[in-house]
Amino acid sequence: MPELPLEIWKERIENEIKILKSLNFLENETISWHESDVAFWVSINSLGFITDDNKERLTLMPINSHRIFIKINRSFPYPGGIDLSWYSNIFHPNIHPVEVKDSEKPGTGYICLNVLKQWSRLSDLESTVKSLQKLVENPNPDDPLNYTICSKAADFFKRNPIDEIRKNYNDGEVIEKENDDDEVVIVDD
Amino acid sequence: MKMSTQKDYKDIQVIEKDSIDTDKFDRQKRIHGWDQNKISKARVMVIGVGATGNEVVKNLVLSGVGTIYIIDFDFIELSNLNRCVLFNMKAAENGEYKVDVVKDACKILNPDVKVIPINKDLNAMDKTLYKDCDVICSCLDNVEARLEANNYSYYYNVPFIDSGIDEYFGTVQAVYSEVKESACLQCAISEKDLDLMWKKFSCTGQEIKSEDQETTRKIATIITTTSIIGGLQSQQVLKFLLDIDHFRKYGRWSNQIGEPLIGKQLLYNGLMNRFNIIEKLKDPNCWTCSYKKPLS
Repeated sequence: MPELPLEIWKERIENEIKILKSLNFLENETISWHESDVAFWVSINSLGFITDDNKERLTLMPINSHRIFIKINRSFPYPGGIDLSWYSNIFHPNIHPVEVKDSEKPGTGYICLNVLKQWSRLSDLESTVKSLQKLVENPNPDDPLNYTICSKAADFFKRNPIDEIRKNYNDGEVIEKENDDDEVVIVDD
Repeated sequence: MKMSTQKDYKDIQVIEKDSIDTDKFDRQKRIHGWDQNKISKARVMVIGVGATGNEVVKNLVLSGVGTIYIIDFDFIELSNLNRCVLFNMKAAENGEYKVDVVKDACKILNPDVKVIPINKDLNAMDKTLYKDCDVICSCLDNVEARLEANNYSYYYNVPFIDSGIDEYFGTVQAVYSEVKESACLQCAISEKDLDLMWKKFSCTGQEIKSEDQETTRKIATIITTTSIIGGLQSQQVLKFLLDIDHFRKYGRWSNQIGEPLIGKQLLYNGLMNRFNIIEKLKDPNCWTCSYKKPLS
């Protein structure tokens, strides 16, 4: 991949980090500059779900805050310049979080994000982080990552479309319907 | 050759009668505005010494350019020999490095020229070399390396001339940061380019529709096209070398040397025997030329 001269690269990233800061995405004091990359943590707020392992039936609990580790290398802003790792737990077909609960090994942190594949001239950190926010709210069960927990999430969201859940959801937990005729059970706290 | 001692005529070069046949550069010194001193002091970088690179290096060496840096990590194969004037059969059979063979060939053409071979990938090259050059030429076969050369040349305010060839078609474009309103190569990069940057492309931007990765890396090339494009590209180099002082002083190019193709792309169509020149639009959001003012 081509690269920008170091000074232009630095200035661009500094500006983009400033924007993330102003939008309250950036976790304070987490930026670490290295010779050929820069890494930091972002936290986003949007409605996602995690599984409640104490319940017999598949039960989802809401989670609103998410943590992602972002590493930017010298290729940025060319394609492949951003490396994203999803840390906080989430039950999502397109995200394999590092803190995934049902596996013994830590998750890979992989995120299946179209914005990264379809990198454009106008793509930047702001649009990337905002698209992560949208991804949480709009899981795509048709294109899951190839991990058990992600396939499980894909199956769940296929049976219970996210629109339906969101329509009925009201700050409680979501319990999987028992058969196709049932509605998704929404339990308010 | 002597400069006239009279003040009013200090720009006029006097060609002595004795040197008509003995001065190597006599015929080109006859060109209005030509200054062989500028040429022999110049340092030019040629990135990629494949088909077009061979032509450009040959032209620059014979014109008497002082120092030429040649950058290429590849070695010679037999299939290069149909279009590379500086390569030879023996080097191809031994699989020698392109830069080494070109250097040796240049020594025969003009021993006064210093050719400095750099047998490295462009990414691995010391970036400060860009600012030591007067003009940078790219004779490359991929978008990534072109953009890298474009980005650094722009940043260091060095004129950059790009070329591309494909069968009977070719392009030449110059980029120069001092002409503020002109486009750079990055300005014209589309989403599709970015999308396919991983894959190999034909130099003129036409997609190669073969599934096989090995064959998609090779494009059809003939020496007639490469020598036309290499000739045009070397012409642009000489224009910059001869006239950049005039441009810096007066803000315009002299009539004797003419304006280089800055921000413009010359398209050669060998099928229709046609040359077209198109103006490239500057992208106000360009990553390279609009993000930060270049160093002065």
